[in-house]
Amino acid sequence: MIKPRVVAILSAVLASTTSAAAEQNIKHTGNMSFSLSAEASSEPVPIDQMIEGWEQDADPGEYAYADMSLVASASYQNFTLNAERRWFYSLKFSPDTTAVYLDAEFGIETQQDRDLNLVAKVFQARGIGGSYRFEGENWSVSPAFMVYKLIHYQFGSFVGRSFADEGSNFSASLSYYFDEYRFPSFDTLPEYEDPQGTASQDWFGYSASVSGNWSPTEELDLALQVKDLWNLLDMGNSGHRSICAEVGEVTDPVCSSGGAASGDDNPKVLETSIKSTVIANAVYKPLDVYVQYYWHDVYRNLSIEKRYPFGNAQLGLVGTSKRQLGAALYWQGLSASYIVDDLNIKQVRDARIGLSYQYLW
Amino acid sequence: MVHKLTSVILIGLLLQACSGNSSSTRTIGVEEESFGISGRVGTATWGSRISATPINIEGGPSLIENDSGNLVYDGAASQSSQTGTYELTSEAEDLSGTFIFIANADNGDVFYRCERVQGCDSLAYGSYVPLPDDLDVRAGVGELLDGMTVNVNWITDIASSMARTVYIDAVTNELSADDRTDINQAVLDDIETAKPGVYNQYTMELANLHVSELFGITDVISSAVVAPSQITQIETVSGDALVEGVYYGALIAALPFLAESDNTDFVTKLGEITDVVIDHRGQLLEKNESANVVTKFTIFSAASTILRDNINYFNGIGARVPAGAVTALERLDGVVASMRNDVKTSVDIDVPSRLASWRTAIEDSKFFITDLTAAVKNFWGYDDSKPSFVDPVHGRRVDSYYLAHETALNGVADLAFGPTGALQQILEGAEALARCEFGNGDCSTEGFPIETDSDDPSGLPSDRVLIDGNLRLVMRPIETSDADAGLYNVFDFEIESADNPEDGVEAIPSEIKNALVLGNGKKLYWYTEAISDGSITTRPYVRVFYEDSYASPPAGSFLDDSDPSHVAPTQIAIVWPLVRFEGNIDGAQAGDNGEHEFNALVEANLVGVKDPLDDASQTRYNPVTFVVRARSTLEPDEENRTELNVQLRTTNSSSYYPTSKWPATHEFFLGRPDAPTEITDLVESLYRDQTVLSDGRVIEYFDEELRGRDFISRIKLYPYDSSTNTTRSESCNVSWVDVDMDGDDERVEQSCDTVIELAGEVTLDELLERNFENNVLSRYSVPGNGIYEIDLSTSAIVSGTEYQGLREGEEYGPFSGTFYDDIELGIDRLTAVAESYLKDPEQNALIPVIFELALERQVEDEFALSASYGFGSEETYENISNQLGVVAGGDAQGFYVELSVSEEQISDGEGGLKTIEVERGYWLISRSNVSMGGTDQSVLAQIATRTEYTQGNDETACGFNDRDKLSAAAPTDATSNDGCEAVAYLTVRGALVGTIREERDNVFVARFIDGTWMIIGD
Repeated sequence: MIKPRVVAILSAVLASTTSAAAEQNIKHTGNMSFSLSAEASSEPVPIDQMIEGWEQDADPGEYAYADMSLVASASYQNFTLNAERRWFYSLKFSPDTTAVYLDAEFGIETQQDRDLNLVAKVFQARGIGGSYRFEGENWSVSPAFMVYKLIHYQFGSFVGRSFADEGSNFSASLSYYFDEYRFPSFDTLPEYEDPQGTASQDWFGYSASVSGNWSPTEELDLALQVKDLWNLLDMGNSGHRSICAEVGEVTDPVCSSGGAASGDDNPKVLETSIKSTVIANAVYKPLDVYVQYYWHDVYRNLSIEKRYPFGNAQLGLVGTSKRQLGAALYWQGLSASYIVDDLNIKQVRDARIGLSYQYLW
Repeated sequence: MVHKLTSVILIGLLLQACSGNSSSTRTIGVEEESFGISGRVGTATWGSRISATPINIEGGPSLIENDSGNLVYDGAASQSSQTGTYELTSEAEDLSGTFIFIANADNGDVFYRCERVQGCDSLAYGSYVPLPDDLDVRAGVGELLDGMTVNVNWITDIASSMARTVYIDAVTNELSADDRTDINQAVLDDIETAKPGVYNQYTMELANLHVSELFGITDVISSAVVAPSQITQIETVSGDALVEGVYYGALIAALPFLAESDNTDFVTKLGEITDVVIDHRGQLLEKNESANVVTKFTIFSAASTILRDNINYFNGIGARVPAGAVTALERLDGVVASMRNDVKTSVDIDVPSRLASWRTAIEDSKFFITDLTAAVKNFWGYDDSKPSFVDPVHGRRVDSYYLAHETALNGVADLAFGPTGALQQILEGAEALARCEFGNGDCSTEGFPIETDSDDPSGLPSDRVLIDGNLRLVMRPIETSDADAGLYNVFDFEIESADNPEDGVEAIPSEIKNALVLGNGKKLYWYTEAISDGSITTRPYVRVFYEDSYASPPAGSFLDDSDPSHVAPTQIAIVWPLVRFEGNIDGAQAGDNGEHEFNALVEANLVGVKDPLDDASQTRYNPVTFVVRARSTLEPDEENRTELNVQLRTTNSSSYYPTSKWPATHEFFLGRPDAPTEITDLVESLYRDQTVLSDGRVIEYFDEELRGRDFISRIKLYPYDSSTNTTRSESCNVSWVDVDMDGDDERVEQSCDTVIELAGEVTLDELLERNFENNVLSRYSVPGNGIYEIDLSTSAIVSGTEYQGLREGEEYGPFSGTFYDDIELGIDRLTAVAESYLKDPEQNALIPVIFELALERQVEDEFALSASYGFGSEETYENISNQLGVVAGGDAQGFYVELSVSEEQISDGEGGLKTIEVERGYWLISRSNVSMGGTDQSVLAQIATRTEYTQGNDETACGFNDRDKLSAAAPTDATSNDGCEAVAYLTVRGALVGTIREERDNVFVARFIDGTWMIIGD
């Protein structure tokens, strides 16, 4: 089972990537920018619990997702060079997962047998890459390419079944790729042991993205960004553990463990990829209204922002289809946004936070 | 059960399928009784002992004691010649076995030939340079073959070290400080730690492959070795083999050169390189700017230099240098040139493909562990829906059979030992005889007519009593300290039947001497039988011992009272030779009931204990030894039968004060429940002084006067004797006597014994200080109560915690004692064998159930335990019966367990030694009907365990023994043994396949060599 608390990729600050809308009409030969952006959403429990460990009041859900990055970039004419630190976290699971988790973690009995499927893709990476902007009179297209060196990762799939009976009763099969010390042992499983010490220790990722802008009229700007349009994460001979576990009274196990649990710690070759993220933006200038649609796999979020003059800055008020409300501030090259679904930070399930600064020359 | 068992960690498992597709027996022809192995040590290591040593059950090389009493490596051994070659002849049974070849200096000085043209360690080129005494260079061979060449050199030694290293959490990941902040420190502590593991066939072969690839050699074990100084001499190899031989030889010659360059020795340098390879998980840095780092570059550069110098030398003297040597040099130079800075080598062996032939064995052992875990948890089959060790049907049958026995025996026991039973009557009869005093006392005891035994050789009158009209008790004096005065301190009470026993006795065979009619009309008959001291006894007796001598036993001796005026025997010996009686077994399963004949022999030696602090305390008895043999047989066909044989010897029997007058099983391993928490003035005085003998010698002495003791204990120390380098010590009994009749008592020695010659020169001050440090001076065993501690810091002997000493002629004390620890009645040696044979009605065969137990205490807190259990059909015995040592058949389940506890001293890592407790366990298990691969198979498993720990009071229980005391905290560093180091090594068909550890509290993990693992139990 992939324990949410071990996922440490969500740090303190989350941000959004709405800066794409901050178009500058003045021609500059180059710019430097720094930005922090985060998009996070967790269905079963607040993000805080997803980091610290679930509590017993978890709701049924199907995913937990976060993509955060810190980017420094420098542009000269149409070339842009990017350096990035990225935290990516994607858990997708069947609706019964919450019940099974609560059974396993807290012994909360289930009233019926439940099946669980879970796929986790988690990594931290440092990346460097570049993009080139092709542009016309009212359009531009920027293909980008990043090379990542992964710092930590966990990729796994989990199939389980929880049985309706007293106490914890479940059967589970897990296939898990990870950089070793991150393996969650749950205080019961053996520490991971790479039998021959042959697990690779350098892991790389490659990602191609594309973004484009089109202004069909003077009043309307449209932008589309497809992140990770093509990507490959190559862990080589990765640390890997497969586990079959049978705990309590198991009548119809998903695998045969021959005991409480058995497993295989041999490294395995891992080449994988993550789903693409699509971010579509539309700006209706006469009303200073900005619309964004964010789509990553099962996570989708539609947001509308209305901006108002605020001294020599602009203040944006934002609402989203995830019942988030927030504000954004734009002043010269600096922008900041904070959009959440709950004022109590510990109860926030959906968050979009951004902070960026751009210096033009 | 398995949880607990494995908590002391299993060390070896030999799993062998005994039927179906299980045949793993090698067939060796007669002509293959022995075979030869040869090879080379180093390039030319001269004089080393070289042995082909088998792997023991703990995955290490086996040691044996040689003729000189020294431990040496087991196996065929030889000595390397001046050219470094050796030859060994091994037994045919070793063929295909896994061996570790070890070259060391056990045979004396060892040298290597200098391969450097410039000379080595100030010795000339070609001369022999001494190697360190602690030389230990190895090579591991997974499968020994006839005619095999086995090189033993520092490169094979690295492979051997790798083969014995397991990496647990050993990834470095090159974590930055930032990365580490969010990782639990305990996890970090464990990262980068390679731990010593075990040798096995698989790891040896894999490591040899790995190191061969690391150094670019086809096979480090068997490739030819050509020493650089011999390149012009070689005729045995040519072509590619010559090139590789020269290349390999130059690399081997590089290590002494590297050691000399670093001003260190061969062994140290080898250890350094090995550490680097282990730390880098089998890799080396290719090259590094720092001169202090061992890299592949430095090794190959050294090899290249040595070879180049040799080639130049031979060219210089006009010798013909083979082209292969030049090619080898080019190869070495090629490697040197290709090395990159700060890049590690990337040797990778295709492990899965190497494991293919091991799969079946690993799967079998996994299944076996699973099955065994389930079966042991349900050992006696009380849950018939789960696997069990004993067939549930048979288990219930034995249960009811034993229960019925217990009922039958309880009935007899009441008659014999109950409040109105025969024993009580015997005691009352003995009391009557004691009061009669051989006619000199009161002989009118009602109900116990006093008679005179005409057969008594001493001719004493009134020495017999008739009990209940059918039993006679004869009192005889046995040992005397003053025959003339007619005073004795040992008396026997012999038991015999009346002259004319009642009806039915006529039917008793002639060898029967006596019969005792019990209250229900049943009779106990006793036979001529050898008792445990080897003597023949015809009738039972009770022998009583007194501290003082009497004409007849003092009256009141046999009353179960606490009147302190009554003298109680200090010792009682009871000997009941073979007793036979009839009893009906009822309540067992049909066919097992019916009239049984019971035979029993009981011997007990009891010692009386009083509380020395309470003169009025009752004398109570502890068993010193106890022997019981019992057999019951279903009549008339004598088929079902049960036998029990128990022998016991106890510890602390003279100093534990039991809770009741007569021995009981519940008295064992308990302290006296009402022991006082404080004993006022326990130590009345401590005193030291000296005396001068007539020859002028000065004797120092130290006196301890304890409350309740008859004498003061004195330790006397004589002057140091330089001729024997010893100091004589004596212990004496001293009492207060008014020698001068002046009204003042003086210390007078009454007797001295126990002479000890202490090694070296020892002064009384030193002795006392040592006693203080070891708590001997502050803790006192008070018989009948416990161990008490006195506070010496209340006197000038100790200031704070510092020992100050005792001044001559000054009495210190009194000191009151505070309860410190219990005195417990323990077991010194116990053997118990219980056997039952129950007839199988279907097969008309007897099914035996046998349980054997032996427990032997070696010293305080160290013991050896063995237990075996067998169950199976007698008619279907198989070979495994012999191997187990207990019967086991086609449906057999059996085990044999041995556990020994000992102490060993190991390095504490700071130049000193520390003592660890070591428990070695050994299991033999037979399981039948284990479904493996779709077929039911019998499995014979061999499991041994080894656990090391230091006692402490932390939270981790470790081992069988002292689990209540827990073991000390987690290891303070990777190499320490402070914590619980307990590893099991699993062996399948003679080769180790994995380990078992208690990796978390009560979580036992079996790890197999193919990288798979399983948690044992729930």
